[in-house]
Amino acid sequence: MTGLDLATGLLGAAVARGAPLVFTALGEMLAERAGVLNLGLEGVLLASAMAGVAGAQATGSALAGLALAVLVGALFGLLHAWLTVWLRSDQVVTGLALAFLGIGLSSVGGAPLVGELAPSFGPLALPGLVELPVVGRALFAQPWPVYLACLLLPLAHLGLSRTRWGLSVNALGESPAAAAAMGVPVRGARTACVVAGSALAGLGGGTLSLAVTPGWVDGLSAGQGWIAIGLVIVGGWRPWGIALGALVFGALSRLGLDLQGSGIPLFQDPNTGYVLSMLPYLAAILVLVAAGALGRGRSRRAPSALGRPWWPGDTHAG
Amino acid sequence: MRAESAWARARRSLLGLAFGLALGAVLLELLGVPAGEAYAAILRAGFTGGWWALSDTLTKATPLMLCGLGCALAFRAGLWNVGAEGQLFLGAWAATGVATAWLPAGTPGALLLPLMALAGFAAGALWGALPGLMRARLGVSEILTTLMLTYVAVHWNDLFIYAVWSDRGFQMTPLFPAAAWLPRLSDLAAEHPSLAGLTLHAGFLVALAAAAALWLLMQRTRLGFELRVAGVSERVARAAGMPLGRNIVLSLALSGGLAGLAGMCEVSGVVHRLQQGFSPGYGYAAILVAWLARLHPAAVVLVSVLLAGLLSGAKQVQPGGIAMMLEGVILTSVVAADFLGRASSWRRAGRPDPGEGAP
Amino acid sequence: MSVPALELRDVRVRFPGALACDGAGLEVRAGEVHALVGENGAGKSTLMHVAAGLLRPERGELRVRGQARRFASPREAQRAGVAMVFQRFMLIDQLSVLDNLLLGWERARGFFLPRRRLSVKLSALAARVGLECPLGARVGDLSAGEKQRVALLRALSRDARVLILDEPTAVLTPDEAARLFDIVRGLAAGGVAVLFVSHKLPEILAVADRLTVLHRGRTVAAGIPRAGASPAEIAGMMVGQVGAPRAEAPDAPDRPDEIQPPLLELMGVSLSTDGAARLAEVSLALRPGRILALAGVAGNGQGELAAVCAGLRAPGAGRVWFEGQDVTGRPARHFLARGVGYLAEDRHGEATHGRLSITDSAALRAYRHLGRGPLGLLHPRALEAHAARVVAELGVSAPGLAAPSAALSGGNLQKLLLGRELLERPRVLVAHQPTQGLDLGAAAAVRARLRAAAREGAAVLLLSSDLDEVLELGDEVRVLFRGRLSAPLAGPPFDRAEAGARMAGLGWAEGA
Repeated sequence: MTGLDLATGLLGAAVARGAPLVFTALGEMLAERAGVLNLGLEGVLLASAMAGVAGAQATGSALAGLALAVLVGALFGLLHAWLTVWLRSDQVVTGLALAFLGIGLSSVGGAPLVGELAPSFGPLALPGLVELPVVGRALFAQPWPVYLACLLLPLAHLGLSRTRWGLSVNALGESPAAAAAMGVPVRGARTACVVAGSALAGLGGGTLSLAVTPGWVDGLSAGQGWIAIGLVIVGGWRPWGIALGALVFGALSRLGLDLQGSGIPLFQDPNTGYVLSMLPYLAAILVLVAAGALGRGRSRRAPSALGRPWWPGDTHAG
Repeated sequence: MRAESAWARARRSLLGLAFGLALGAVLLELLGVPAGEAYAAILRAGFTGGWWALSDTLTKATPLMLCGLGCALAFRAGLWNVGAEGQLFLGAWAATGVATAWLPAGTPGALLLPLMALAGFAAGALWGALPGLMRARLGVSEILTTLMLTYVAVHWNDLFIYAVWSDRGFQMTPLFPAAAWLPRLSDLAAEHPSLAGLTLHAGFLVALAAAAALWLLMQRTRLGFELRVAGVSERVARAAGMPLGRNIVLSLALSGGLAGLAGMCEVSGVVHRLQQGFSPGYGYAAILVAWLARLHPAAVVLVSVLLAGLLSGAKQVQPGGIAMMLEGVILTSVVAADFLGRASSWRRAGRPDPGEGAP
Repeated sequence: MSVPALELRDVRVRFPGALACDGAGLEVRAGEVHALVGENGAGKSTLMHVAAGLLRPERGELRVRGQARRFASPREAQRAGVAMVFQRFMLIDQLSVLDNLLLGWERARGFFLPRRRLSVKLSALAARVGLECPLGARVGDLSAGEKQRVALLRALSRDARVLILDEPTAVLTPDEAARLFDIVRGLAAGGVAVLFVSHKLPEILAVADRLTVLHRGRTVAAGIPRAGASPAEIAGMMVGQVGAPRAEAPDAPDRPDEIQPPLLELMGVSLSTDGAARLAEVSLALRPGRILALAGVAGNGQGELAAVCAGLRAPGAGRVWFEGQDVTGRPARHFLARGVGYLAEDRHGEATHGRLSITDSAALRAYRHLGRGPLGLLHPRALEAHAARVVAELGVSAPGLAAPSAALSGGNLQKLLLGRELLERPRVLVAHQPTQGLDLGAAAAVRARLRAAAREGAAVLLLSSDLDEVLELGDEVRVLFRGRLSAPLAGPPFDRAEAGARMAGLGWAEGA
């Protein structure tokens, strides 16, 4: 395998594997910007990935599977929103509970799906762009959900900084009391953000099992849901920071395989395989630590009201 | 306005548990698994199938109890240790190292077992202290770091199971020498034939002792007081002059140590080697145990026995993810019942409660 | 007679364990400045929250320009023309001034915010009423006075016909307060009905046309014209006495004869938070038996100074000495061990937490030495006994020691917190806003105990935005302004005008 092939392959993989991360992380970012922590995303990711495959298999259409995945994500979001926004339960425990639920559900429901073939999204080559040297093959011959992820990034950025809705969301996450005093429907808006965010994670799950690594195996995501949550922190709660992180992790998760296939003697020893498998997680920790050490600046701080429930009549200002 | 009575909270827990089981049955049916049979099998395998079932349940309760105590300690201190599974793995690894690799062969059990326990505890404590340090010094969320370290620990163990310590290429380490086996009830079968085949081991006693020790720590010591206050509010703890950083590292280290000890008990008392999948998710189930038990050590003992029965029984039922799914359903139901109940009692008092979080 | 712009009648609002309002009411006319007065806890804010749509009353009538209304949300109130400027502003610190103004504004229509067009509109409005503010600045970076202008501008931009100001001068220097009164008079002249809520008589008499007095949740005098009652009579109505109350003569302070060596000393202390300088070269000395009172509106470095003196923060530069020993940068534990007591400003979030039981709250200072036996174990009975002693110290009225401290009223909580500090026989006591939000009775009790503590030999540092309190309690008075400490004021008796000038930044000698 030549160096160029390696680079092209890695870039392509980074973008492809980054897409589910982008969806999930953007979804978590949306919820967190509105002030709600959703730790259940690993469960949502797995459950919706499983649902996507199941749906595609049942209907014969990958698109239907994707729609089902999004629906499953939205349902989880609804449950989380009901518990945390309306019942004011502890957001950490609720998120973890939903994660377990999702992980378990995906395992149980996915058992009959293992090893079965299901329709998936093939690469959609963009004419003209795909001819470009090096980057053409890598970037512009991806399944269309990956393009959607790329599109979502500027949309998210614009939405949060330029629109009236975005202003309300930001206000919710910093000071729900002030937002309420100005007429923003705090609980309704937070519910909408949580449901939408979870639906996005569902989209990520569907993309994972129907486009990026088609098919279902138990534990398909290998912790990507947790990594996505970490990406939100590392990316400073901003879409572009998340995009960068997703690319890096997409690349890392593929790196191990590529290095082993590269012919370099060091990576032929099977033991290194185990070490390489640890890489993404160690990297995640390192990046979190770096973000913690460096990100003391204001712009990278978490939304002030994150994790704190709100009720009508709460006038605790910020 | 009075603080809510323990009874009221326990009642809500039980209601949530019942509701969770009911909901779980519905879900199982929807997924094509006959719920009635599944629950009956679980009940039989867990509790009612004779002494053998009870012994099995208590054996499984041991790691649940230890991890649950660790989680309860951390949660009480306001720290979310969700990496008990990884700490468990690492403790198992360290105990295996002591048993098979790092000490001369023929070391007597009286020396070997305590050293294994120490190694297990220390390894788990390290795995908890690292996130603790990152949280104390840099404010990095311990939820993410403990989780990430869990994945690392799993792969770390795989490295040794499949490669470094592998038994002739098989996917497990060689069997432990007899001196490294925790004493079991069946060891006494020669004198008491009825105990034959009962695999309950001494780790159970260790777990009970740990529960007592934890109760003492949290309710009667200065450190326990400090941890409890920090769990309610870090700001208040800091303003009161408490050494927050040290306490964060200490809590997570202790919590991890208990989970590591659980790992040691599993490899030394049950499987007698290090192998893949020796834990059906004890570390994760421990979170549920701690929460259901309202973070009280005595309740942890009880709840871990109950949940062990569930796990034990669920192992007999296919497919394998049922246990985790049921755990998720139960935890969600308990959370809902918990906060539904609390929200309404505060509403009756007419005032929103001054803080969310721990039960 | 024209229809009143706003009318409230027989309002009852119930909170657990207390009736915040019971038969409260008032009536405001367009174009007048109407003051709602009463002591802390009389129900003024609560009544205004009803008028602004934040609270639903159990009973009562609300009329806007004669029309009966029921506001289900602040937005409805705003649409009816009733806008409130809150004591804590309800602004979002992390957003810009412009974004705060645009949030929830009906005029900010359309999917994409027409930021530029609206900022032009807002600047024009600001210029018209004299409330210029930097639209692009981050609200968190503004001073309290500037934040208030933003809040005012926000209310006016929503076409408020009734403007409610809740304790607006609490965060202003005397100069800024005067400027606010000018703006208020201007607004009233333009036809707006201004409702001014305050517990400070002097300034009310300076600006109000009419007054309504609340006491313990009910209206005791409605719509008296300013000239209609003497200040003494009004003060009496505020505390529920018939006729003029006896002026509370302060104890003749017996000042210690010699100046003793300082217990706690700061030399050239500077401190920055998030890159912004909060304290600049502060030097002070706390001596036994004396109260050093620092005047200044909130936000000029009081919190940081209190934290440094209590050992909770290390100075970025300068040194801290305790009895001649350098304790700079030592942990708070160290300060506590040497006998430094701390009454934090944030009672519910720093001094204790609402979910902590009264017993635990009381034990926070003393738990280190309450252990018994060889292992030093903390027995619940020992903790309870201690808590009982703390409760008895200032006569706290508590529903039981196991109750969460959120069950205590503001005054009782502060008595508990002060009691727990005093039981440790502190040699230095740092009191940050000790009587803020307390009713007159509790405030008087706290002040008396602070004075008593000083007479018993403690060195007391008082930081308060209540100038009267500072001037009354201080043996030595200095002013904190933008992180700098002025030279001591001449006195006692201290000159109020001189203090006010220093608080506004005037009269600072080079290097003072």
